Amino acid sequence: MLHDLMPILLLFAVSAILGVAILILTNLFGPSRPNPVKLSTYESGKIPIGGPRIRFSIRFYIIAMLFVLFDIELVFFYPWAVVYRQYLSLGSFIFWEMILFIGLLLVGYFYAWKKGALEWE
Amino acid sequence: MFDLVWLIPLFPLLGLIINALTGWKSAGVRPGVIASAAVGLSFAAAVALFFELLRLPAADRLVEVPLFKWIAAGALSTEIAFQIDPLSMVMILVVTGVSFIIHIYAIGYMHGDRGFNRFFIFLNLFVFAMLILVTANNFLMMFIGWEGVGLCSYLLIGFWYQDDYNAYAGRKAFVVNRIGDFGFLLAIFLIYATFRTLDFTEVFSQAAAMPIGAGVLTAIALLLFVGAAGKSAQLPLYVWLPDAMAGPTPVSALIHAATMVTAGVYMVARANVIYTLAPTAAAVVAIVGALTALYAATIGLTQFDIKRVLAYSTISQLGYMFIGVGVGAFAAGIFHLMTHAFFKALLFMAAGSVMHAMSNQTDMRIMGGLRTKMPRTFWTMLIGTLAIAGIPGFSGFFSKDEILWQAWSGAHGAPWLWLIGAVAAALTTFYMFRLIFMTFFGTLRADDKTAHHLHESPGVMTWPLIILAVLSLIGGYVGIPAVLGGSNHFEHFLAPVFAASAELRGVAAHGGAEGHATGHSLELLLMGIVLVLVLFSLWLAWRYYGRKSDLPARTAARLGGAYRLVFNKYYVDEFYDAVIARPLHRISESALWRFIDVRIIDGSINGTAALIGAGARALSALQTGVVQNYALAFVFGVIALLVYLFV
Amino acid sequence: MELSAPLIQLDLITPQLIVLAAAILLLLLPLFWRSLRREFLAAIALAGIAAALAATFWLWSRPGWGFAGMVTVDRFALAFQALFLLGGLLTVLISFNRIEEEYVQHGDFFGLLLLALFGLMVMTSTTHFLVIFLGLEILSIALYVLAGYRKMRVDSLEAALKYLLLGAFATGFFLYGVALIYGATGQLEMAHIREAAAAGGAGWLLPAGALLVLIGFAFKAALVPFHMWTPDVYQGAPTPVTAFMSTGTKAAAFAVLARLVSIAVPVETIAWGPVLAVLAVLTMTVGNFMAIVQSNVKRMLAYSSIAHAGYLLVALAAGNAAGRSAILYYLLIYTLMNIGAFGVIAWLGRSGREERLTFESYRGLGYRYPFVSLAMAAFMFSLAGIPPTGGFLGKFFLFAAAVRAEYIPLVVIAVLNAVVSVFYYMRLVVNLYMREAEEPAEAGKAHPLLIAALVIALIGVVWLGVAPGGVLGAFNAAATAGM
Repeated sequence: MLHDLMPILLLFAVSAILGVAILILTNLFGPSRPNPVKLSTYESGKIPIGGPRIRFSIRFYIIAMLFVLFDIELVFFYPWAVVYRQYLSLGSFIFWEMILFIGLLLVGYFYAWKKGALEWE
Repeated sequence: MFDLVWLIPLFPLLGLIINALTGWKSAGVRPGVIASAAVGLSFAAAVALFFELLRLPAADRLVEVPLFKWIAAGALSTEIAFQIDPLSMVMILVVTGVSFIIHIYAIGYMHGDRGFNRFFIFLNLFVFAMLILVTANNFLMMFIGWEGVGLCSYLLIGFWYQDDYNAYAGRKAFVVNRIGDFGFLLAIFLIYATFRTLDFTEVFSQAAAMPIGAGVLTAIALLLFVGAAGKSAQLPLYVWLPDAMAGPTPVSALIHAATMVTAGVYMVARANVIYTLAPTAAAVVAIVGALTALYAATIGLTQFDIKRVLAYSTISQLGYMFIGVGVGAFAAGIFHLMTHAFFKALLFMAAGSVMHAMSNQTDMRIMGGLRTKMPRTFWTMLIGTLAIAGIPGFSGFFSKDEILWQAWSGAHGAPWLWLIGAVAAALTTFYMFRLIFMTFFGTLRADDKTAHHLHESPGVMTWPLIILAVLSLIGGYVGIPAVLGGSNHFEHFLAPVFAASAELRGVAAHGGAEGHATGHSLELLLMGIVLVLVLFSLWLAWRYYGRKSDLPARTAARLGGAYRLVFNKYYVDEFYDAVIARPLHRISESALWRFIDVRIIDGSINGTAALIGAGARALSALQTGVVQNYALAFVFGVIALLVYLFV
Repeated sequence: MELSAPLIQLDLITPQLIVLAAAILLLLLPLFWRSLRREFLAAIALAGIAAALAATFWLWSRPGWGFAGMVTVDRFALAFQALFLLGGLLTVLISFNRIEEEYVQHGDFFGLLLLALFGLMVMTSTTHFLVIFLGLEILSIALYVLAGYRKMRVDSLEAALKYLLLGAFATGFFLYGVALIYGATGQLEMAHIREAAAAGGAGWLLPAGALLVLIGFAFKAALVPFHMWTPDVYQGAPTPVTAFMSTGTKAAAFAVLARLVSIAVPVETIAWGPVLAVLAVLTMTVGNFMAIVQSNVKRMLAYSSIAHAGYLLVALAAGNAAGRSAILYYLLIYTLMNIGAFGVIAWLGRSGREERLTFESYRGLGYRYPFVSLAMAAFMFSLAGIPPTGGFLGKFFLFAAAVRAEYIPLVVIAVLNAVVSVFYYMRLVVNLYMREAEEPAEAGKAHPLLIAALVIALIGVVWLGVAPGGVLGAFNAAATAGM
C-alpha cells in the first residue's frame, strides 16, 4: 500500500523542495533592484489595485482560454505515450488514433488563428 | 354500392377544396352553387344508399365499410371505417337533406356578404365533419368528427368577427364545448381501458355480457353524457347556445338547431346498450333532459329577440330528445330529432327571412303585422309553429306524443317525467304563438325607414321554406303510433339497432310487453290531456298577444320578481360571472394588481381562465429574471426529490 | 496485463461522422472564402444532414453495438437520431428570415448547429454514462454559443449567460449522480449497472445517484422546478436556436431518461412512477398557467414547451413500451409543429433589431398571408391537441399509455391541462383571423427555404394526424429495442 503511494509522495517532496529552493536561491544570488512596480503584488498581469469593475481587454481572456484549452488537451498525450509501445503490438491503431486527435486539435487551432484570436492588436 | 359510401362525405370535401382554391376571386354566387351542388350530390348518394339498405333483410342491416387501417399501436387498432345501419342512415339523410336545403337558402341570405366564399367553405367543412361523426364505426373517429363540428361551429359563430361580441360568443361556445369534450375523451379512455377496443360493435357486444349496473359502465355512460350535454346544450352546459345566435341565421338553422346540437342525442342512442345496462346514468339523462326542457321553455316565454326565443326553444326540444333516449325510448328520441330538424330549421330560416325584411333587426317588439307583407314566410312559419306545438296532424305531434307516452310508460319512465314534459309542451305552444302573434299580427311598430324597406324574401329563400314546411307537415307520418291505427314504420326501421337493448331489458324486467295491452286507453287519455293543455296555451297566447292588450305588462308587473328572474334567464350567466369569474378577478386585482394585464382580464371572461390567470400571476412573481433565484428553485427541487427518496 | 484491441466499428457511427465532417467543413470554409453565399453554406449543412439521415435509415436494418460497449446503435437510438436530424434540417431552413440574415446566416452558425446536432446524436446512441456526458457537453457548449449569437443584443447575451451558469450547475448534478452510481456499482454502462445492482444490494447510493442524473436531465428537458431558465433563454436566443433547443434538447433528455428508468435503474430500485407523476403534474400545470398570461408569443411558446414536457412525462411515468413509443411519436410531431411555429415567428421579424412578438402583431394576417397563417393555425391546433392534427393523436397515445399503466388521475389532470392550453393557442388563431389590425403588419416575402420548412412541417403534422400507421409501427419496434 505505502509502496504504491511512494511515487506520489516523492512528487510532493520534490515540488516542495523545488519551490523553496528557487525562492531561497534567487534571494541569495539574484541582484536586488526594487522599484514600485516590482514591489507590488503579482496578479497574472492584472493591475491589482483599483475598482473591481474595470474592463480588461477581451484578448486577455481569449489568450488565457486558448492556453487552458490546449494545455488540458496536451495532458491527454501523457497516458497515451505511456502505453504506446505496449499497444503498438496490436497494430497501428494507437498511432492513427492520436493523429486523428491532433488533427482535430489542429482544426481548432487553425480556426482560432484564422479568426484572429491570436493577434494582440 | 355500400363500398361507395365514402362518396357521401367526399362530395362536401371536394366542394370545399374547389371553393378554397378558386372561390376567393369570385364575385358572384358561384361558390354557393358549388357548395350546394356538393351537398346535393351527397344527399342523392344517401338516398340511393337508403334504398340499398332497405333491400337487405332487417336483421342484416348493419354494414361496416373499412377504408383503411388508421392506427395500429400495440393492442389498439382502429380503422377509418364507415358503419351503415338504420340509425346512421337516418342521420345521414337528415344531415345531407336539411343541409342541402339550408345551403340553397344561404345563397340568398348571404348574398353580397364579404365572406361569401369563406362561409360556404366552412359550411361544407361542417357537413363533412358531421357526416364523419354519424358514419363512424368507432369512438375515436366519432370524436374526430365531434371536434370537427365543434371547430366549424366556433368558426361560424364568430363568422362576422369584426364585431367583438361575435368573436366572444364563438370563444364561449368553444370553451364550454371543450368542457364537454373533456368528458367524452375521458369516456373514450375508460372504454379503451375496459374493453381494449374502441369499435362500436365490439364494445357493445362485450358490454352486453356485463351485469346490469356495473360501476364502470355507469361511469362511461355518465362521462359520455357530459360530452353530450356540452354539445347538445343541456343543463348546466347550455349557456353557449343562446350566444351562438350571433352567427349568421343559416348557421343557427343548420348547426345550432337541426344537426350538430343533436349529436349528443345521437351518441346516447348509439351507445344504447351501455345506457340500458347503466340505469342510473340513463335516469340522469332523462332527468337532466326533463329539467332542461322545462327550464329553457320558461326562459323562452319572456325573450323578445326572435332568434333567442328559437334558441331556448331548441334547448328545450333537445331536452325532450334526452327524455326519450333517457327512458329507453331510443327510437322515439331519434324520431323527434328528425322532425325537430325539419321544423326547427324551418323556423330559424323563416326568422332569418323576417330579419332580412326588417333590416336585420331581431327585436319582436318592433315587428307586427308582417302577415300581409310577407305571406309566404308567414304561412310556412305558421306550419312550423303548429308542428313544434304538437297540433295533431303535424309532424311534431307524433314525435312529441311518442316521447311523452314513453316518459310515462317506458322502461325507466315515471309519471312525473310525463308531467314535466306536458307542462313544457304547453309552455312551448305559448311562447311559439307569442312569437307568431307579435311578429305577424297586429300593426307594424317599426320606424319608417325599416317599414319602407319591408319586402318578401326572394324565391331562393322562400322555396326552401316551402319544402321544409311540407316536410314539417308530413314528416311525422312515417311514425304513426299503433294507438292511432298506424304501424310506426320509423320505429320498426330502427328496431335492429336497439335490438340488443330491447333484449337486455327483456332480461331485466320480465314481460315488459304486457303493459302494452292495458296502455292503449291510457295513452289516448294522456294524449288528450296534452292536447287540451296545448290548445289552452294557444288560446292564452291569443289573449295576451293576439290583440292589443295590456295583459302582458300587467302579468309581468304582478309576477314582479319571478318575471324578472325568468326574463334575465335566471341570471345564470350573471351567476357564473359573479360566482366564478368576478371574485377571481377581484382577488387577483387587489392582491396582485401590479401584474394585471388589462388585455388578459378582458380576454378571460371565462371563469376558469380567470382562475388560472390569477394562479399564473402568482407564479410569475417567482419568475424574477434573477439567475440566483433560478438556481435556488433548482436546489429546492433537488432537496424535495432527495427528501422523497429517503423519507 | 492482457491487451485487447477495442472493437472499432466506424460504420455504426456513420451518421455522426457525416455530421461532424459537415460541421468542420462549415467552420473552415469561410476562413478561406469570406464571401460565400449564405445559401451555399446552408446547402452544405443540408447535404450533410440529408446524408446522415440516409445513413440512419441504412443502419435501421443493421443495428448493433461497438467500441467496447461505449456505443449502442439500436433502433431506439436510430429513431431518435432521425428525429434530431429532421429537427436540424428544419432549423437550418427557418434560419432564412430577415432578422437572422444579419446575425446568424454564417458558416459558424451552421457549423455550431451541426456540432450541437452531433452532440445530441452521441448522447443518445450510447448506454454508457461517460459517453452520455461527452455528448451532453458537446451539445451544451455549442448551444451556449448559439444562444448568444445575436451578440449585439443584450437579451441574447443574457440568455447565453443564464443558460451557461445554470447549465453548468445542472451538469454538476448529473456528474455527481454518475459518480454516486459508479461508487455504488462500479459500473458506468447501464445494463452492467442493473446487473451489479441486482447482484448485490447497492444501498442508498444508487437511487440517490439516479435521482441526481434525473435532475441533470430535468434541467435540459425543462421540467418544473428545474425550468426557470427556459423562458428567459428561449426568448432571448435567436429564434431558430430556440426552435432547436426546445425540440432537439428536450428529445435527447427524454431519450436518456427513458433509458435511465427502464434499463439502468429499473423500478425495482426506485419507484419511479410517483416521482415522475408528481414532476409531470407540476410541469404541465405550471407551464400552462404561465403560458396563459404571456403577451409575448415567443415566451408563450417557451412555457408551452414546458407544458409539453409534462405531457411527455405522463407517458414516461407509465414506464411501458407503449409509453416509449408514444414519447417518440409525440416528439416527432412536437418537433414538426414547434419548429414550424417558431419558423412563422422568425418570418414575421422585421429587418433591423426589432422582432414583432406580441399577440397583436398577428392581427389580420390571416387574409394577407393565407399560407403562412394557415400553417401557423395548423401548428396551434396541433399544439392544442385538436384533431385531425398530429398533436391530437400524439397526446392520445401518450395518455393511452398512462391509462394502460393505470395512472387514471394523472391522465385526468393531463387532459384538463390540455383543455386549458387551448385557450392560449386559440388566442393566436383568433388574432390571425378574427381581429383587424389598426396598422397592418407587413412581413414581406418569405424566403423559399423558410416556406419549404413550413410546408414540410405542415404536411408532417397533418399526415401524422391522419395516417400514423407506418411511423408508429417503426416506433413500436424502436420502443422495445434493448429495453
